[in-house]
Amino acid sequence: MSVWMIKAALILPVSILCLPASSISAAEITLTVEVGYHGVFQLGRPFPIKIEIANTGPPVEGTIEATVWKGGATKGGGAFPVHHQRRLFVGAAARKSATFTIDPGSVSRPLAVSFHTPRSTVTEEIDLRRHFVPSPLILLLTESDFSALPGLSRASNPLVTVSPEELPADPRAYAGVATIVLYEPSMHELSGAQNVALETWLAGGGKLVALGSLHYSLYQEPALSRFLPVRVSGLKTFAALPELEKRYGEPALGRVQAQDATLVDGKILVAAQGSPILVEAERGKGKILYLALDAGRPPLSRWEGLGPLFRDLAAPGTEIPNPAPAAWDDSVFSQLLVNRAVSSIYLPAGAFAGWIVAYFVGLGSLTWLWERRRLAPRSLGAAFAALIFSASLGGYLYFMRGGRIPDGVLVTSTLMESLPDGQVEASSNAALFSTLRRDYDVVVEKGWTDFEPLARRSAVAEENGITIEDEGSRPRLRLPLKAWDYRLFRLRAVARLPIRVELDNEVDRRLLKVSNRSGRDLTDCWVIISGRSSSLGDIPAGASRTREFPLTVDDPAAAGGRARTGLRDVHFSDPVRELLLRYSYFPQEQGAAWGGEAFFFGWVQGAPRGVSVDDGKVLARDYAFFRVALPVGGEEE
Amino acid sequence: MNLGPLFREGVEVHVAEGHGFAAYFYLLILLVPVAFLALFLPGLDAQLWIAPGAFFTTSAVAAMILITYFTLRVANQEFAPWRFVPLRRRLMEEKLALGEVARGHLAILCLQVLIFTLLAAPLLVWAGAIARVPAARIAAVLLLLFFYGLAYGIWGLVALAAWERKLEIRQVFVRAFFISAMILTAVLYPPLNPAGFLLAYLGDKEMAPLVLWGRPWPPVAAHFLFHLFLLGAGLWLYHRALRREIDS
Repeated sequence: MSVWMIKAALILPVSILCLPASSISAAEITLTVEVGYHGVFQLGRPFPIKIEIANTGPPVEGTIEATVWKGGATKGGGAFPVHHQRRLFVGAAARKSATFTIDPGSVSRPLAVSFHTPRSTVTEEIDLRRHFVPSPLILLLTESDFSALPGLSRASNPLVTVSPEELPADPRAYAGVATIVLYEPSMHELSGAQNVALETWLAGGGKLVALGSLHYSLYQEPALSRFLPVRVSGLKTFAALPELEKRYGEPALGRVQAQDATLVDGKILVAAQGSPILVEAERGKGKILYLALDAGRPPLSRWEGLGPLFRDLAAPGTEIPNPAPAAWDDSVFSQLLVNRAVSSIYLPAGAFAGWIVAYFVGLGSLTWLWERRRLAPRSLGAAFAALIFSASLGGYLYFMRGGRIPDGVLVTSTLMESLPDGQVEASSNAALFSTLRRDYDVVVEKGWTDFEPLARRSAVAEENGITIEDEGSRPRLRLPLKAWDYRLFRLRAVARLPIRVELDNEVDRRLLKVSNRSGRDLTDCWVIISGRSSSLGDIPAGASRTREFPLTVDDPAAAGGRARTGLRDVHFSDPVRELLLRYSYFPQEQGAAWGGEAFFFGWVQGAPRGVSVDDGKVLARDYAFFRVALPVGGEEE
Repeated sequence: MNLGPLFREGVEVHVAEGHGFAAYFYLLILLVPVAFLALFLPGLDAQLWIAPGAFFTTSAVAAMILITYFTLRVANQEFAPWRFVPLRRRLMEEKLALGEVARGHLAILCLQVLIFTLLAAPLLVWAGAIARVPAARIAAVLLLLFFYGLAYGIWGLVALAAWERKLEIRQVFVRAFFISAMILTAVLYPPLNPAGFLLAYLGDKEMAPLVLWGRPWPPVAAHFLFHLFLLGAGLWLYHRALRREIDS
């Protein structure tokens, strides 16, 4: 028997054994999907999904993918798919889970979840219509065995009890959550990503209610105490809490034991015997409420006033919409791109003109040589051919491969609106446009949330699709773009930028004080008061400016539209800044939103932009605009 | 290779004496501003929202129109017509064979189209590089420009052979032919039109098939068959006009 026959005899049985394994692999994978928080999410907001992959067969490596559709006619554009993907290795007879934050454009299309392996694909479709509620949720984070605290759960805002490990690690997943209530939670189990997500959500407008407990040591743990506006030192017995009883109704609570604490930041709403009972503190746009009492145990748990108290505590914060968000659409971006300052990035107009001039000089020289009879006809023909060939090839190599034209340009325009406590709400409008057909990997920076790709007017759905790869701590978005195509998106963050702007209205003058305590320079600063604009120049990091504005007889501080009048006199040397000011930050159609206010604004140097593209062939241009609306005395509404 | 006295005459008049330089100059001086405007003016199509996307396409269409038009005029001997020996003398007195005359005319037509295409080539190649058009597509466009120059330019020879002693009629004919060919093809079936074909080819747009006798014809085949027919018909008419000259 020859060697190959022996080999065949050995390999054949093994191959036969392997064949059924590959053909049944699809049946060995089952997918279980948990939508939202225990099956509930707020309609129209991003929410988490947890996909569990159970493998009863041999080890398998594949890609788990969740696909939702966004856009559509209601959003003024075509529908496009968003694919969330992650590579997973699932061991033999093992389970693995993946969590994504999804944001479907509507619930009429099912959520498609697939696990792709080289050999097979398992797909599940989930009808989202059975899971949504119209209003934001209240999450109760507790290690205790309370399923609910009286009064917290309401028809309008369902209460969902979650354990620390169930908290998402992506701040976007909290978008449909109004309030998180902490009661005896064990926060040290939270991962770094979960903590960052929680902080980001809080700073972006979330509400955290920390209910005290007799197990006060939990509240002294750094993992929890960092969120509290107080420092808990122990327990204290109160004979009565008259202030609380007066607020939330009789009967009297009587003797009650509560946490003893000292205020760290915020303000005390209710106090007793010099100790804070109810404290409120702000974190960016968000709010933290701390109640020193143990609501889960008598006597408070039986108190009739607990219902109104909880309703008050857990009520969703009133979200103050930005009256004048920056405009960002195709028309604004098109204007930006045809502007010479931006188009010069990707259009080598000067070089093109130079090559044309050189070509004409070459042709002129040949004509001159021919006129002077310096060249024989054959030499002239050869010289002409050489000129055409060298000019074509040289120009082609120069323009195509000389690195003069980038593959893409990422433009970010960030509007930073001042918030209390030295924070700013940064709304970043970004655009990525491509000079050639290729895929781009866009990375969303840490702390930025509410990533929203804008719908496009007319295009093939699959060409508009976005793939989000959730491999690491920062999601990576893969955008396919055609040649000379672009994509617009928005995102948001609350960041620290301690720039203090005050306008003091005195009897005969107004005093503007600007103090830049941030580490970034403010350039090209302007103030508009009562329709008059005034340049303040640059305010470097650490510097302050004070400017006095006399009140004149015809200065009625006036009515709407004055800011628009003042804007006419504001000019920047950079045409892109000029364009963004007039068409994005203060667009004409928002004129009514600025009535009766004074404005201070300036450009922030080196501000974070929220997104980046890790590619040397993609150029980036960033513009960050700091804006504060200052109520003018006597006109506040 | 001996291409005959008519070819030598054409080279002498257009190149050696420089009478053809005016046409070359017009081609370049008209093409350069079109290319520059195409670079800066926004595209009309919503998808080609920015100029560079349509830069090469616009330049190629402009080059096609200019090359075709000037080839027609050069073939029609509109530049320095007094410098050319009349066809009748070539055929009757110099006793040149009909084939020899045709070969000379066609050779000089090819040379003129080649010169026009070469002159426009650097501008188109640069435009293609800026618009990030693949090199193969740029080369294909240059070949197409040469083909269109021949297919339409042959009708300049038709006019020359048919009405050699009536310059005004010839001038009116070539212009009317050029304009009507461009308009009629665009109106009847856009993929037949060279500009429409270039726009569709470079813009990756799907062309509707031509339905003829109840049967759909592939648009690319219809386009090239039409232009080959145009070229063939021109050659046949040119040949007939030369024969009529001999017969008369």
